[in-house]
Amino acid sequence: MNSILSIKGLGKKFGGVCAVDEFSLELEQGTIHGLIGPNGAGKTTIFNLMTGIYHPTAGTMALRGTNLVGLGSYRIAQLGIGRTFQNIRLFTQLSVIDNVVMASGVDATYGMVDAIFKTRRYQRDEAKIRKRARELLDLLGLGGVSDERAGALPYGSQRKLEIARALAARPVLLLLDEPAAGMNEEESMELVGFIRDVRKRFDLTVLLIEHHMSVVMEICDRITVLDFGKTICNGIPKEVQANRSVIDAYLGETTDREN
Amino acid sequence: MFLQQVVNGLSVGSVYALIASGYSLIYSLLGFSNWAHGDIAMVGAYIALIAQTSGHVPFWLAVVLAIAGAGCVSMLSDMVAYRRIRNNHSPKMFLMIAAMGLSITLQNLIMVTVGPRFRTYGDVIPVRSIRLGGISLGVLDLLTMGIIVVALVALGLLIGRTKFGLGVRAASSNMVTASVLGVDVNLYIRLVFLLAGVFAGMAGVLLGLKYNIYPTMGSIALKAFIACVVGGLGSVPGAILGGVTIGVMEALVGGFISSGLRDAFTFALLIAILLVRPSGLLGKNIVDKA
Amino acid sequence: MLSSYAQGLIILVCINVIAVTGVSLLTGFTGLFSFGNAGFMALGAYVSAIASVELHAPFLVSLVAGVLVAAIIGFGLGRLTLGLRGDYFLIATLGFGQVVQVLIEFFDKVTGGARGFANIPPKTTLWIAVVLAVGSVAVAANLIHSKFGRNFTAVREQEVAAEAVGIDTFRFKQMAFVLSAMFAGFAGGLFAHYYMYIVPKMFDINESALFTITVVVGGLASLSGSVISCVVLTLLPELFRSLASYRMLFYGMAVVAIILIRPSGLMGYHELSFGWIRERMRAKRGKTASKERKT
Repeated sequence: MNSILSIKGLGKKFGGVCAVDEFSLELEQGTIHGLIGPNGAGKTTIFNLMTGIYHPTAGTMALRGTNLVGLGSYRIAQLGIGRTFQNIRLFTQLSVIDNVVMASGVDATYGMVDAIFKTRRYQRDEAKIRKRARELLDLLGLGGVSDERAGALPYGSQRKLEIARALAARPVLLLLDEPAAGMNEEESMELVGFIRDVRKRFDLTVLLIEHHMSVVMEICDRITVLDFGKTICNGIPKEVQANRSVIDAYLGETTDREN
Repeated sequence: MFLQQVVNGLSVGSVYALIASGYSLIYSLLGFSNWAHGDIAMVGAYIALIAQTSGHVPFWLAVVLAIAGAGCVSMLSDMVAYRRIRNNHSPKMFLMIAAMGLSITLQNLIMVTVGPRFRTYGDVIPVRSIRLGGISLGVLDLLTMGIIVVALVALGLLIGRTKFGLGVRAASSNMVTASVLGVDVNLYIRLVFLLAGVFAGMAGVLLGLKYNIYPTMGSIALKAFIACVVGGLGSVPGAILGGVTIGVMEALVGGFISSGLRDAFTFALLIAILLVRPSGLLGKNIVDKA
Repeated sequence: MLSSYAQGLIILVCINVIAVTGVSLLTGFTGLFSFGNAGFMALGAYVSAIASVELHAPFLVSLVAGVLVAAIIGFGLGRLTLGLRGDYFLIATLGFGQVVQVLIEFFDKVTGGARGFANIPPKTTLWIAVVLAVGSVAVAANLIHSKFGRNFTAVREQEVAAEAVGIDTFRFKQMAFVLSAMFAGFAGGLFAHYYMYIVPKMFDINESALFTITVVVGGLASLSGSVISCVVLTLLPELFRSLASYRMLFYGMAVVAIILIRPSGLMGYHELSFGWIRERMRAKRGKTASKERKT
């Protein structure tokens, strides 16, 4: 067992409301972990806590032994946690390839003087960044639209572009917030194959929030179920599916919604 | 001496508060700094001057004309410039740049039509003062403070107690929801500009009575902007609080330290308050949600 | 040879271009609106002038001193205010601009106060101004096409996403702010050694507002747009000099009209390049061709 991320007793209160309570999670290197639960269960809040957008009111978090609590978002990203957003946050005015290039800061080792005089070092780094960005776009099937404006892409492609951008920053842990939202069954399954593929290729660990149960059950090694900020179940997909309280909390809510 | 300076400060601060409240109303609705707001006050001051000197109307009527005129110019500025920019969905800053353009336009319009000279209304208000327990109170200062307190209380009632106020509050908390609920947002915006203009016109005449009338007198609005930030942008009570605070502080610094360093202290106060409360004294803290 | 009037105009354009380049980095690329840049220009102007006149420093040393002081003050001010949201930051910089003027007037033993500071040696010649302006624009252009420019752009476009890919947004705001202060200080030094006489009023809030107007009219995210706009807006009032007081009236109306008619500015999000011109012409030809097809 090789733990990459360790969260213990994480809590977040907004005013008097407990959005996340006593949340604990151990992620094993190379696994895909699902985070599910009804709307408002605190899933995205956990992502925001992990990426430093919010600061927790209780608990500890560590990535490969490095404490994450209290660090700025950018620092956490530099330590190796990449993410996508539920409500897509691309650089909409910029081209598709520029969105990816933007995230390649780790590959740009040159300084300001190099940039001003366009030195060899600058040219070498920039060429490398461009090449890698094109590779990432090809991998996601966005190679053909690399010069389009990101905001003009269809919804599904924008979600893919967010993944490509996250990968450009060379993360070790990737947080995907509803990557299959707005996709049909066929596209979702394509996404499943793709996530597996990237995990292997980049040696990633993946934590994902998803509402498409078929995607979650298909892809995840383990699943954590949340309801009202509390963890109600944690196990392999089969165990979760059989768990009574999960069915009550989650599936009950889904059927209500559909009626 | 100390009390005397506080009273002087309250007099100036109340004028800041009057300008700042209009500025703040517009900010709460549209979220932009109306750079031309001070120039609306200047236009009001000139309308009264022209009505008085060229129109030979009694001064009270000149004041009424000034207030109505400033309100109309303010409303027109929205109809001519800002509304189109809003409908373009341009960044909010574009509204501010348009307001800067408008500010330059209004100043120079007065410059070429009336001229750059300093003017006064003459002896309309007697230059007398009342002594009260060691403090001397100018008639004009008393009048200024009285008028402004009445105006601000009326504004408070208008916003807090009437259907119009409810519409404004609805539109300022969420414009889209308000329009879905049947509030004619454009109408409310126009009325808010009218109201802000009326207040600015009033402030312009009061400033003209106390000091002089000249094309760039609207730059006093810079103080009003700072007052709004100190009080919390978009909050009318905050604007009033900020205006009075800055007025009093300026008078105290001017009286006890150095009048040359007044603005430096205002700035230090601004920075100090923003460091402790980044959204001003009465402003809400907004967190960007991911 | 050019008349001295024409030479003066060119020098003035060059100085404004340098200051506007800084504002372009800050406002056009990083998305921060500041009204403090005339204040930094004043710092550069006074520091370099005092260095030249009182300390008899060589021109280059005076200029560098002005730039450094602007950079240091810019760093401190940025540190305090860059965490603030949009308009709060704007008003804070506006206050800074006012304070610089007030302090210059207050310390009149050193600065000459409101009467001004005179007898500055005329060192800013036509060639020096042109070379330095071109150099400044080139430096800014190269920065924009590097990771620095990208990170500025990321801050402007989407701060949360920028942080999520590892960009320290505060650091790059700080960098853009200090850079713009340095460009302003540089322009101020050249200005002082061109006019030979400076008063605090030359660097008032209106001057800062004009810089920002220039960048917005030129179009956000376009350095070439800023430069073109700066040349046009500096020369325009000069061309209408015969209309005397009416020129600023037209200027104000023109600013409103441009914002209304062309909200993205002259060159918003585009740079003037051969590729861009070719694309535009092709697009135009395409449009007329499709029109012809329709008829």
